[in-house]
Amino acid sequence: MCSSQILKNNVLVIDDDQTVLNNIQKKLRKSNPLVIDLFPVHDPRQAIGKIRELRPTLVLLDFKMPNMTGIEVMENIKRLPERIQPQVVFLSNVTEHRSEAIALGAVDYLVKADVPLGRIVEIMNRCISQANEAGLTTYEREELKTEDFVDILDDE
Amino acid sequence: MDKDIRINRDQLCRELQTRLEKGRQALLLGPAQWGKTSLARQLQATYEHSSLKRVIYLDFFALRHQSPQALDHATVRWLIENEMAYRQFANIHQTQKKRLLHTYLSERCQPSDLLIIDHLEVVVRAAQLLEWFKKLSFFLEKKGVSVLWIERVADYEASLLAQARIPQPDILEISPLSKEEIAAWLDRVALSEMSGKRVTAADIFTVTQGNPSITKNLYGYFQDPEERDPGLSYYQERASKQYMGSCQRVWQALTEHPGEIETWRSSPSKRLKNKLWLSGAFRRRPDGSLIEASPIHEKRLQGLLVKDRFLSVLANQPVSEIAPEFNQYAEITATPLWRSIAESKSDLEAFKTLRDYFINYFKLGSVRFYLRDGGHPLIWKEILVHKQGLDIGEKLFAGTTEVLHDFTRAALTGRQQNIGNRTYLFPVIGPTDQVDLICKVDLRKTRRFTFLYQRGKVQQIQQSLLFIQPVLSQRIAMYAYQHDLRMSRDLQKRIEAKVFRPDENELSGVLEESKMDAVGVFKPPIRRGSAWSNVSLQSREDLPLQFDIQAVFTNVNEAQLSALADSSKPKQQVVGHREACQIFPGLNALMAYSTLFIRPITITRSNNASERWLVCFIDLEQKRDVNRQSQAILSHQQQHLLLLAERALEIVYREERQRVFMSALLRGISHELKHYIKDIAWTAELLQDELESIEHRAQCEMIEKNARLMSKRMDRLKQLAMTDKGEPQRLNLRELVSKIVQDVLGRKEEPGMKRVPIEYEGVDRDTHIKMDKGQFRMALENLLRNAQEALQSVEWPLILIYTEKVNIRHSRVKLIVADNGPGVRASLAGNLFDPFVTGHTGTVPDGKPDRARGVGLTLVRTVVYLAGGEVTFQRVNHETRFEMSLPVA
Repeated sequence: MCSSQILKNNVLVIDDDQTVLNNIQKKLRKSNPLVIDLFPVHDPRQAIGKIRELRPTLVLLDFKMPNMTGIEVMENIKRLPERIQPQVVFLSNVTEHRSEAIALGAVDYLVKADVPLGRIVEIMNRCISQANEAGLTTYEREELKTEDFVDILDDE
Repeated sequence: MDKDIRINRDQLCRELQTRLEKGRQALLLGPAQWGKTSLARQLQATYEHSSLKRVIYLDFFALRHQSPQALDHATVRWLIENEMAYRQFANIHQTQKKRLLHTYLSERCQPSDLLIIDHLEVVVRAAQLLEWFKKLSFFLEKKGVSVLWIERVADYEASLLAQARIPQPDILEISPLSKEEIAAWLDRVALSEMSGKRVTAADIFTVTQGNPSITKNLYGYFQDPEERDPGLSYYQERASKQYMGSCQRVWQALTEHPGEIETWRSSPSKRLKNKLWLSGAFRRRPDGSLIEASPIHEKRLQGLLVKDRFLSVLANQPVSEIAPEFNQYAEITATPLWRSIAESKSDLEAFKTLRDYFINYFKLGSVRFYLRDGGHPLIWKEILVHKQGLDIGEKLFAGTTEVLHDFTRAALTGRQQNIGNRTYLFPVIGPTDQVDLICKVDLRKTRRFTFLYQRGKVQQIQQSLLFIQPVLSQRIAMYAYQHDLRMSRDLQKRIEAKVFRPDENELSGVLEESKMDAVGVFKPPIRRGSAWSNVSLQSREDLPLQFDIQAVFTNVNEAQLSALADSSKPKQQVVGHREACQIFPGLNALMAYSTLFIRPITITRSNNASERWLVCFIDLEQKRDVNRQSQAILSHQQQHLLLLAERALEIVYREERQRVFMSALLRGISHELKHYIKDIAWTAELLQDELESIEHRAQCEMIEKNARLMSKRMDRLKQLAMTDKGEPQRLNLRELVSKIVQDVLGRKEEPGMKRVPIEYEGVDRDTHIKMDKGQFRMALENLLRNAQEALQSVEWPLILIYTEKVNIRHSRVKLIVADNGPGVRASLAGNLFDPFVTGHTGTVPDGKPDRARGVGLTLVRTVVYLAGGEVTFQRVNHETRFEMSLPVA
């Protein structure tokens, strides 16, 4: 069940480069209307586990990482139960895979070197407030955990 | 109404054809999945090349379920001509669709045409379609179009059909097995599955009577679930649906043999059991006891099984080797077939059997096949006399003459020993006059015919052929690489993994024995029918020239050839096609359409007058009328020639490798640098928030801006490096230009740039070009961007895009992007397309957005050149014109 009634939003930053998260964190600290908690995932293989655990509203996903590409991670995310699927924004320095990512259902595909941090934060806020309007805040997602468990039993 | 006709598939096809030609309407009945559609397609194929009769194929199932596959090519073309995009058609409303189809049929159908309507039951079942359909059938009757309706068997549907006023069709039926036959099969096969025994492919083959799709389905289903091939899951699913019908019989068998029930329950095939239970095949009686099967399922099973043996020749053949491979290709070792041929009364009859077998099995429209063991030299004579047989049989597989000789002798002496212990390869020529199959015959040892069906098997042949000359194989891969990237990677992998050793010694044995050194490269066919690419090696005695080839260019057209000839480098000679033909008369065989890519850089007069040679690559892609055979005649100097060829090709190979490497390097560097650029830009951005002083903040802003410009510039460089990744396709020029212009105009204006109107009415609507879509976009966008920038200071700026057809023989179209700007400085005009040449002054951007200038036009030139075109610059009457001459598709 929900542990907190404060409206908080988890955002997962799946990137082997820690500076991305640090920079966004710094920009967020200035002043941001929404409460956003950033969590780093350095190894893309752990991404799905983290998503199950933290139930993020949004995932910022790099394309080029060791072990897995962003597209592969995205494909794995799409296999999750629909209710816990976070929105995905690609944040990468590779420009070629835009259409592929959008086709898979990514909200946006941003090229790191071309996008100011301000714009990234803007897009994050927009995604999160859309999710909140749709009633999918992080604490509601936590409630879902028990339901999923029931689902699993049904399947058996 | 004629009574049911129970005949086999081939006869059925002929019967249908006869009746339809008489102007009758025919109704083809048969259970689901029994190949009614493929039969209709087979019928359609027989008319493929007929100019008198056209076949229109409509599939109502797909039409109703919004799938564009419902329409055949003619219909689709018509829809596109009427500006109804193909994809759109799937999405429009039913009513509109009906109207369109009606228009199409009334406009297109001639009395002599044949209309095939598949999945009639969909129409008959849908009330609102039925009314429309009545009108349609009335109309078709009035017009006198022959129609073949295709329907599943169902009594109540037949009564509905009567309502639909289909005018007295001849009913032909593919009938299911009788109840007794079904029961017998189930007892033997399905029950053994229940009790845990493995069902063999042969069992399935018996019951499916050789229908390939059903065999495939059932085989997939009966595989052990644990060992099941995941690729077959689709068929399993379908097969399981089909299989439900067997439940009643299964249940009956179980109740009659109560002892089996326990065995069945403990059977490892859990999934099959569950399927049967869950499908509702068994129902609980009200008293709680088990169970009866539903009548629907019984009916379905009857639909599943068919009486006639379509491929009776194969019935005795264990198919364990066949069935697992159905997915990829069909290779059949047809010993019983051979036997039936051997027992046949006359050669003609045997020949017919064989031909029918092919037509039936591979669903070919027609097959010309010349092959006979021993008996009659006339057949072999025919091989030599007939043009295609001669060309392919003799030249490509040069053993034919010897075969004729051997067989004639065998026929005359009556002793088969004379045939010799050999294996022979023969091409089987399909309806498109291309080789559809290759028949491998091993007469003496095992009397086996192995048929290599081209679609899947050709790759194996290719591997084997490649191995014949391992020296050349890599180079051929190179050639393939330049024409088809995907294939190249595939080949490359194989070569690197060293898995291209011949698995079949026989093949190299044949070539060795026939004293032939042919290297033929098959390109894997995209559609049915082969495209033979080739390497041709040839020498002639009376020409004292030695060509030392240092580079071989592909895709060089005549204009480019002459451009090469004009270039002033010493010791360079370009041999055009005509000249080459004069020197090497053998080239004439390749017809005038072929393009030669010869560029002998140094030509030295050889001391040894007997050595001269020429290596050429012939591109026959797209030239369908051209005789596609390759010629490979090597003289006594062949070993020497091969060494030379190797050396020449090695150079090409190395150059290509280097180019690929450089391109990869540039991409890598670009990615690496962008990582640091990102850090610079972001840090500068964050610093701006921290700093108090306006001056410092402005400086930070400058850093950030410059970093972003660097990033953009890297992108452009990367684009340049990636120009080799294009895949040419057929594009409508007008549509594409219109789309790109709208995108360009629709983009947000950048600060300091004013919008410039772009006019593209002059672009021809019917022209199609052959080019990679993304690359064309890249080229045009760059030209437009250049023009826009040039027009910033002009009072009434205008960009015009228009086409001029040039040189129909070379099938080029000229796309011109003209603007009324001030033009380019005279000093730049000469090297405008070289990298980092720019008309803009100052390299540091002064607040205005930099466009990574200096690479744009290089990019345009590169992509246009790669597509086989040219781009030129002209200044005419205060007008700046960039002319792209593009290949027409």
